[in-house]
Amino acid sequence: MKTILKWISGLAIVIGLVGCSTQGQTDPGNTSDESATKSFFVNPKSIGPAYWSAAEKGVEQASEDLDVNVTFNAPSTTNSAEQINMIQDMLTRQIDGMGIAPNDPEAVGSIFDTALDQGVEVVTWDSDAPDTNRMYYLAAATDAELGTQFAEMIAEQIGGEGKIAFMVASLSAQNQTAKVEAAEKYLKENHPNIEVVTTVSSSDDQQKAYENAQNVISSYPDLKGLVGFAGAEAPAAAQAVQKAVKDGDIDEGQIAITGFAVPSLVAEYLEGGTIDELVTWDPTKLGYATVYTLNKLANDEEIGEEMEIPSVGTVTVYGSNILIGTEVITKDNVSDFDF
Amino acid sequence: MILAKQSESMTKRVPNWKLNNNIILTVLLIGLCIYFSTQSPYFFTQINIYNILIQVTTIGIIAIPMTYVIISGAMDLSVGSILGLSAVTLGFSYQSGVDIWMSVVIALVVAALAGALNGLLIAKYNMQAIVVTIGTLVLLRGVVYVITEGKPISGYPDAFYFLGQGTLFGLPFNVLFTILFFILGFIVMRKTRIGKYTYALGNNEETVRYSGINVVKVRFVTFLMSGLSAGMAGVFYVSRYSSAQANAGEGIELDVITAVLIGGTHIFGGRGSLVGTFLGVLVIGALRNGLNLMGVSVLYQTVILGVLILIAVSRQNK
Repeated sequence: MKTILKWISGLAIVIGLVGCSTQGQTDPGNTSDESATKSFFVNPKSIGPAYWSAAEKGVEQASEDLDVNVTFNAPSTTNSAEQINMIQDMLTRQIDGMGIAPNDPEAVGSIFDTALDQGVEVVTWDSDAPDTNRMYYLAAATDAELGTQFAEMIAEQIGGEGKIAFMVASLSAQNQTAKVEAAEKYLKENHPNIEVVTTVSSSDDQQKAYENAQNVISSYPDLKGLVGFAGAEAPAAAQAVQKAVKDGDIDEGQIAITGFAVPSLVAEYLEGGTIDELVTWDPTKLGYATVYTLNKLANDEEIGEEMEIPSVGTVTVYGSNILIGTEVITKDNVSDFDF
Repeated sequence: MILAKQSESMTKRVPNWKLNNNIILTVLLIGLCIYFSTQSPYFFTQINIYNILIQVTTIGIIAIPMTYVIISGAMDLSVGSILGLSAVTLGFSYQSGVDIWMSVVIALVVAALAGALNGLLIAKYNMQAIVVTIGTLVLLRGVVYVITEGKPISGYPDAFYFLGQGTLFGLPFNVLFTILFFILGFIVMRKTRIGKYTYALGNNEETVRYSGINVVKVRFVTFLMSGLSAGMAGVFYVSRYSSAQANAGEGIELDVITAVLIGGTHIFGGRGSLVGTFLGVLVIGALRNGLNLMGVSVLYQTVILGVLILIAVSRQNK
């Protein structure tokens, strides 16, 4: 009898928790069967990181502005199997469209086909699954564009000549190698006097990135620039440069740093003057644009070569890529970003 | 005193207690289903029920030998890594030109070897199961990353996708397989000596040893089976997701152990049942699916699952 009571109280707790937790949701589930309002599922890689929380804000804003139901949910880790199970569950809810940031681009192919067969609009955002039948891919820019932008930025900052090093998160991941190739191509064609002395990989580990930067700085005393191709790289480079300046190994301002950055991680270095400018994009806008695109597709509206999205701006459409554009962060605007 | 209590619980109280537990679980499961069907019109549809069953196959297949392992008073934390190892071994072999079904066999052999390594260290050299399997958890995941270099391996022949995506007699094949595996596990547990020894080991290993039973062999077999099953789950994983990713199965040991504990198996061994595990697996599956259908954030889902574990272990105060 005691155990039965325990389980009953447990069930009550569970139901109570569910009751609380659904109140804060953008879509309380039981309204999704009203066919008048469209309902969408937006799925980041995981729930938790500040980047995705910022994206969620954009998604919520769009759901309010466009008067649609949007569920924003993902596994708590970047687990492909759990992500696909969740997509499968959402498909039974008869949603009108879904925006997915796949953890494993190869694994989502068959669930995408199932969704498309059911008439669900499918787009990818933030990360693409190019070999699937997804309709559009939303991102800030293509990898090639980003790589070129990084290279332009560093070339300008070091005056078109000298030794620089590339810092990447992975030597094999496609989103990293594509950026590096584009940067190298741009430098070769436009700034032949710039030499890329080495490319070091951190495996997305902040500590490793810091050690890499220290090694590069001590191996090449006449180094003029560091380019970070992923979120952990630029702050680690800045930290290493600051230490080298403090220890008297290099002069202040000798090494320029640029590349991609998460604003909150680099704010102190921008304000302190170790870094002048970096490239980023606003996940809030990316989230907004994803819902906006899904709504357009669900209403059978045409997506032209350009789209004017309120509170995002003008986005360009290349083939099946919808690009919202990047933003340059400096010490003046770094506090405007909330991720 | 303690011995007297144990023997009492071994003889008389066990069947009675098990009956209660499984009835409670069934009531809980029905309660959850009724609640979810009032919250979402899609919960009680055939496609959704199939979804739940398909989604729990990975946990279910591994939970069967895990029930044996925990009843015998041990623990296997390396199953997620063995699943990953099996998945990428399959992918790597096929990519290197080996026939797909041969690759499946190689993957299963490698997984069984990993289980045998656990079994050898724990049974033969008397090392602590938790410590050993934490070691292999880390070690094997490392091997997986070395094999794949972090990249997913994809692109398999269509025939292979039958395992994880095909249907037989109208039921998804992996679901059918899991159910048959549960029945087999149940029969072995009830009708064979291995099953009886497993319970005995968890209750009092020394007594079992002195009564002339080969303790090393029984323990070794449970870990071997655990490895092999994680390997089978790995094969189904690749077939279902058409891709062998380096982090396949990461963290699944927690889900599996949660299912076994909710199913009423005692964390220190000696008590438990496969019927309970089966119901535990379904409870987790229905809960996840139902909460997803309601659009409940995964952050709350984790809290809810944690509450369930606490309730399950709260009854294990002796």
